[in-house]
Amino acid sequence: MSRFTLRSLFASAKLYRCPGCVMVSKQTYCSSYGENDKVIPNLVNRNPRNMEMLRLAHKPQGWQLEDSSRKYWYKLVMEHSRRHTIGRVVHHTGTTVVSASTQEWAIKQHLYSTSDVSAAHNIGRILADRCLKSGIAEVYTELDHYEETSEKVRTFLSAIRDGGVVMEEPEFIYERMVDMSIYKKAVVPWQVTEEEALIDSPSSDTPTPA
Amino acid sequence: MLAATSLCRALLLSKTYIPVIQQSRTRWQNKINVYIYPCLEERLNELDVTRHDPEVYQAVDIGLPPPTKPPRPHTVTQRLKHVKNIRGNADLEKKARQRELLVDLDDVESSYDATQGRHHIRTLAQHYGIFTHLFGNAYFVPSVMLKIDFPYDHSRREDDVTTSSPVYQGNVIKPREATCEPKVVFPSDPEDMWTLALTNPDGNLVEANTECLHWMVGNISGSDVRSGEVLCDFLQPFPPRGSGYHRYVFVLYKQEGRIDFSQDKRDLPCLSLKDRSFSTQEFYRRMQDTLTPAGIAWFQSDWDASLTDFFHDILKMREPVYEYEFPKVYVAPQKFFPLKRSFNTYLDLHRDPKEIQKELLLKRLKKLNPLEPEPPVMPFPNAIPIHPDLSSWERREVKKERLGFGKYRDLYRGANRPRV
Repeated sequence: MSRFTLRSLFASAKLYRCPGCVMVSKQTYCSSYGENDKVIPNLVNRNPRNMEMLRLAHKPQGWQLEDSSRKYWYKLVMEHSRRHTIGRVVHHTGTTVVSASTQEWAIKQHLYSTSDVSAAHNIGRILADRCLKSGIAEVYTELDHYEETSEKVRTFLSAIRDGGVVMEEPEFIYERMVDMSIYKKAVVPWQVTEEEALIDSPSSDTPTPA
Repeated sequence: MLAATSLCRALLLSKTYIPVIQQSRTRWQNKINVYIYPCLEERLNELDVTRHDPEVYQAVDIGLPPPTKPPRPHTVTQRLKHVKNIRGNADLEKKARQRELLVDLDDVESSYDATQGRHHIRTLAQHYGIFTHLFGNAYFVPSVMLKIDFPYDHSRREDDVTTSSPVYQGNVIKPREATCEPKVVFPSDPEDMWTLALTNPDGNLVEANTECLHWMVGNISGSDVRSGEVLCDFLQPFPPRGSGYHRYVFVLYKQEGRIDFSQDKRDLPCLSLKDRSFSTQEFYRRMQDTLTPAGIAWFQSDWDASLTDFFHDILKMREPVYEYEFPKVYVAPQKFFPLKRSFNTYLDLHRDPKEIQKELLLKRLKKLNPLEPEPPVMPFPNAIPIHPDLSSWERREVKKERLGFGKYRDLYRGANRPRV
């Protein structure tokens, strides 16, 4: 279990930023707080996945000469034998978090063959669906090495991409990256609002507001 | 009851057993005293209390017994028949060869739920740490599949698009999408009685290490949630700004019969966070003779802009804003005369960061006019010539300031910053 402590801003002064206070209409509320106003200054978010979603959890670094990298939170793995096709998403601690396989009766009963390209395509679609339902939207994969040579891998990966799972994991943020002396300070996810992120994304055509 | 006794035993033992921390050790080998250096993994295993007596620390299954399956030979013959039919299906073969065979995902999901899906949910719940934080050293394999949907509140939206946010196992739902009471559907006999609870193990703002109760309905007869007795009315998720993603867990309990919930009933509408403090473990300990967990589903939620009004208008409080506390970076003690370091950055390193932030904020406010919107930054900020009389370190600082590098990042806000 990974724990992480959050400190409220201006904790020493026992004050919380209240954007509404500036506006006149909200001042009535701010002058008459209820008993809810006494919140704890240090909040511990016990969610073990939170650190990964905020890009704060460390990834294992592994060793440089290793065959496959260990720098990931979730890794997409595919196995295809003469009999079956299996897709897995593995967490770096070793747990297989999500999997889809032609060995499952739920999938097998709809397929003509359990080992052909269309099986790989359908396994990819089902795995992407299960990943999104389990809150996994980004995975690391080494399967793209085989994308050109294997048609099964190619269809599997394209099905996963079409399903809405991104094949890249962001870098994690460590304490030195947000230090004031660093030349290019990292942006922490919680300081960027949704609206800003949408403006900055290359897909949107809206101009930056003045 | 058996579950509770072994749980108590485990808790008692964990308090008494203290692992021995031994720095180094030796062993006699061929009349020579040899030092042993255990690796990190070995040391961690030694320090692991649960390895001392694995039987005691083994997680306890508190769920319903697994559903009875039809006899295996019967299923196997049926499945073989089905597979044989498929292999003879020329249409299906043609589709598969032309890569046009697309399996219906809803069909797969429904039959997966009926077969292995429940074990997958258990694995995921363990991965999300839900059993540990809700029930301690206990787990269950869900035997009832919950279908939960948050309908959109149409009064808050301008366009009338009929959409809803379904809850699976940890998908992200924003607070503005979950303002209304969700629709909960589960298969049930009409005589069965159920209890449904929605708790947040991460976001109790008034008490540490407990949960915040968002919704609780008891004595639900059949699958109609509205027939139940509302013990705590629904309150939308409100993860405070900066605290990241919180888990919101629905747990469905099966009741042995009608239960008197007078102890858990709260005054409605319950808007006090103190009254909403809740511990599932404590609740389950009290009710374990009559309640058994049967179904589970959860989603994750983080702050969005709609919550500011919610905190002000409904919870009647200032909006709390939290920030992650990074581990402190080591800074070598300050020297009187540091060599090969530029003095301005070296001095900044040993200043209070709050003081620097304040200085920059004042600098920023000096440029702004509160009655006008912020002027946009120039496309090539460093194209303006710098005064030649300035020294090299001053010129460097001016350049950094214009680009918003290092400490000057705070001079610009939002999307209005120099693009580099």
